[in-house]
Formats: sequence, C-alpha cells, structure tokens
Amino acid sequence: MPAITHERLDDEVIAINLETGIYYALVGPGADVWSCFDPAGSVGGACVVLAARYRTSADEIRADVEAFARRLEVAGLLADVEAPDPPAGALPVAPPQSGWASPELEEYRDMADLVLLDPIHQVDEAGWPHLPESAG
Amino acid sequence: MTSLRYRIAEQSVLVRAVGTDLVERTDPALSARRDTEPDEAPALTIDMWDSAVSGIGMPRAPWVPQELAPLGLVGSYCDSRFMTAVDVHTASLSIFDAATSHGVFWLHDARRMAYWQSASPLRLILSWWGSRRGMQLTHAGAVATSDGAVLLVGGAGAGKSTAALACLAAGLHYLGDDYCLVALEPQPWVYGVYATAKLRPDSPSLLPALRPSVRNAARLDREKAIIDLAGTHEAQLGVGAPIRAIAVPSVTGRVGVSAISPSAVLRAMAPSTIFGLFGATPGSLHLLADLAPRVPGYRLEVGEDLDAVVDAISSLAAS
Repeated sequence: MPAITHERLDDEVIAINLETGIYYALVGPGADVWSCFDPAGSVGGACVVLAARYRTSADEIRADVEAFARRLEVAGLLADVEAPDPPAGALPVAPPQSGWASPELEEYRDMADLVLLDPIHQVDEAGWPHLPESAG
Repeated sequence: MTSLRYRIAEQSVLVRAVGTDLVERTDPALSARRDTEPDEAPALTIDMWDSAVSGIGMPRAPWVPQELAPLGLVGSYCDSRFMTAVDVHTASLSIFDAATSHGVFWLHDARRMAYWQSASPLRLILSWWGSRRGMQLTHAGAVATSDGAVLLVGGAGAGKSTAALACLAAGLHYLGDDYCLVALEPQPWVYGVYATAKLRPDSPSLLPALRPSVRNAARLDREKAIIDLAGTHEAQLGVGAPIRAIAVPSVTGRVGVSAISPSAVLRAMAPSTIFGLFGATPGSLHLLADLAPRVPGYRLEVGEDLDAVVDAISSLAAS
C-alpha cells in the first residue's frame, strides 16, 4: 500500500497520509502545484507551466512554488529525489477559477488518533494484540 | 462448527465459525441478510474463531511488530493477492485472499468483542472482498424511497445515524447508518450490509419504539446504543437502491439543504472511510472520487425537527 493516496476533483486535491493519519485539501493554485508534481516534477518546470496557466511570469511565482513544495515535503506528501528534470504533470484544460495566490495546504487531524503510535507495545510476545480493557 | 449463509450485495457469503460464541456476536448485525436456501457457490467464504472460548490458540505471528503499518496493516503480508491487518483496538486479525475469495477472522475473546465491532462485524474482509468486485465499503448511512437512495456521509457525530433512523421511523427503507457497500456500475448503487444502528443514548432519534431493540442497554453509560433492526424492521431493511444524492449531514439546530461541490462531498466521505478501514485499498479513494461527481451532493443541516429532516431526504431521493 502506498503511504499517500490522492485524487483531484475539479479545483481541489485531497491527499491522505496513511502513515500519519493526517489528510489535506489543496485548492486552486495549491491543487495546480500538486498536479505539476504528479507523478513527478521540478520546481522550475512547475513554474513555467503555472506561469502560463495563470498568465504571469515564472519569476513572479517561484518563491510561492518553492515554499509550497517545502511545505508538502515536510508533510510527507512530496519527496526530493535525484533525477533528471522530469516534465511537469498535466494540469486541467479548464482555466483556473481565480488568479494566482500563494498556495495553501489545509490540514485535518481528526483521524490521527487511529494510527498506531507504538505498535511494539500494543502486541504481546507472540505478536498478537493485547485484549483492550474497554472491549466487551 | 457453525455455518451461516448470507446474501450481501446480491452475492452469496458463507461464514463458518468454531463454536457459537463468535457467531452470536456477528450474526445479529447480518441476520437480515441471512440466506436460508442458498442455490449457488459462495462468492466469499469467511472462517473465524476466537481463542479464549474455543481454546484454539494462535501460533506466534510470522512478522515482527515493526512490520505493522501505522493503521494496522501488516506490510509484508499485503500484496496484490493478500490483505492482512491486526486491529489492536479490538484484539483481532483479518486476512483476505483475493485469489480464493477467502477471509479469515480471529478474535482474542469472543465474549469481549467491542460493541462497535459487533455492530459492523467483519468489515475489513468485506471491504477487501468488495474492492475486488467493483464495490467500496463506505463509511456512510443510506436510506431509500421508491425513487432511490440518499447516501449520508461524514465523520462520527455528523448526524448520519440521527437522519437514517428518523427516516426509518417515517417508513423509508433503511440500508445502514455506518457502513454500506457502494458500486459504480452500471449506475451508482448502494447495498445495505448491516441491520444495526449506533446512536448516542441521548439522541432524539432513539425513539421509545426502538429502545426494546437496544442490545447493550445496561452499558449505555460508556457505550453508544446498538440497535438491532432485523427483528423489528425486517420489511424496511433494503437490499440495495440506486444512489440519487449524497448528503453530508451537519447538526446545526435547523433543517436546510444546500448544494455542495463533488470535492466537498469527497472530503466528507473519503477520509473516514479510508482511515476506518485501515487504509482501505489502493483503489478506494479513486472509486469514491469517481462516485462524487456522478450524483448531486448536498449539505444537509439537521435540527430537532426530524420530520423536516425526513422530508428533505425524501426530496433528495426524488431529485
């Protein structure tokens, strides 16, 4: 199972980190940056594609894209890899619903309680879970 | 050995258990799907046992605890054929072999099955099996009129059960309040699986007529009420229906309906489904994302006027 599962619908991406229990919504420019890196991309390539889409210059948006890529990396949604410069991922044909703005990452932690923080101490010597006090 | 046949999503399911203690806890939620005269080979076979009652112990796990993924999947025993999960919250193990459509469920002690697990038993295996047949076990309630079904999605406490039971009381068909199987082809369709409802004891939907069907009445100080509907509402327990709308309930104190985008529906529907099923399957989010734009989505504000809630849902089913 991949650690991250994600889908784009219209102007929004939902990305779910199965390892942390945190999920994210990326809307508008954030969804477009994501699409530029799906499945792989570079900041430089993304800036060129996004500049054309938002009718601005690559230099104008580079700082935003770099900062957002770092934010995605910290969240475990994006990995920095050594590779030849890949082409940017595909963006929707439909024009953006708004002008360029600094991308935002909406973070939701209401499911995070479900992840196992300490699996080693939640199973017995044979590897099976202890009977919880609250069960039954 | 106890063997029971069910029909779930119009397919035959065989459940075999050592002894009767485990079946006594899983069957009430599934008994409305009981198939007393099966005439086909099972599409899914589940074998299950517990150790405490049966005396059949478990050998040492063939993996080390570090192999448990954060949600409980056993990484080294999950691949394109097998799915394996250890649930530390309920002290249970679920395995599914897609090649033979065979599931195995083990529980530490049947007598101490968690109340929420007995309300929707075997759901990991049913989820994995469904995904191989174009279906997704979805964290959703569903009710239906003769026009079709409304899927009720959202996290815990959103009002799914309140809305679903209000509709049940008003005579609508009931397909579930917590987990249902959803298929996309040939058209979006929802199948009922469990004939239970789970409510906070102080919920206005816990109507006096339902109280005799609360199975855990003595433990409501620490558990949600689990209501068995098979005996009292058999005629209203639907098999399946086309999905006409997806509603995202929200308890606001007033009743209202407003259209929302497919992405808002997906955000309400997907996380609790996927996390609640230990990550579900690699295709789960994609299936739900395919579903969301295919039927209209609405925010359903839920207030104290449950008749108005029922009217709103009935209108959505006819849309």
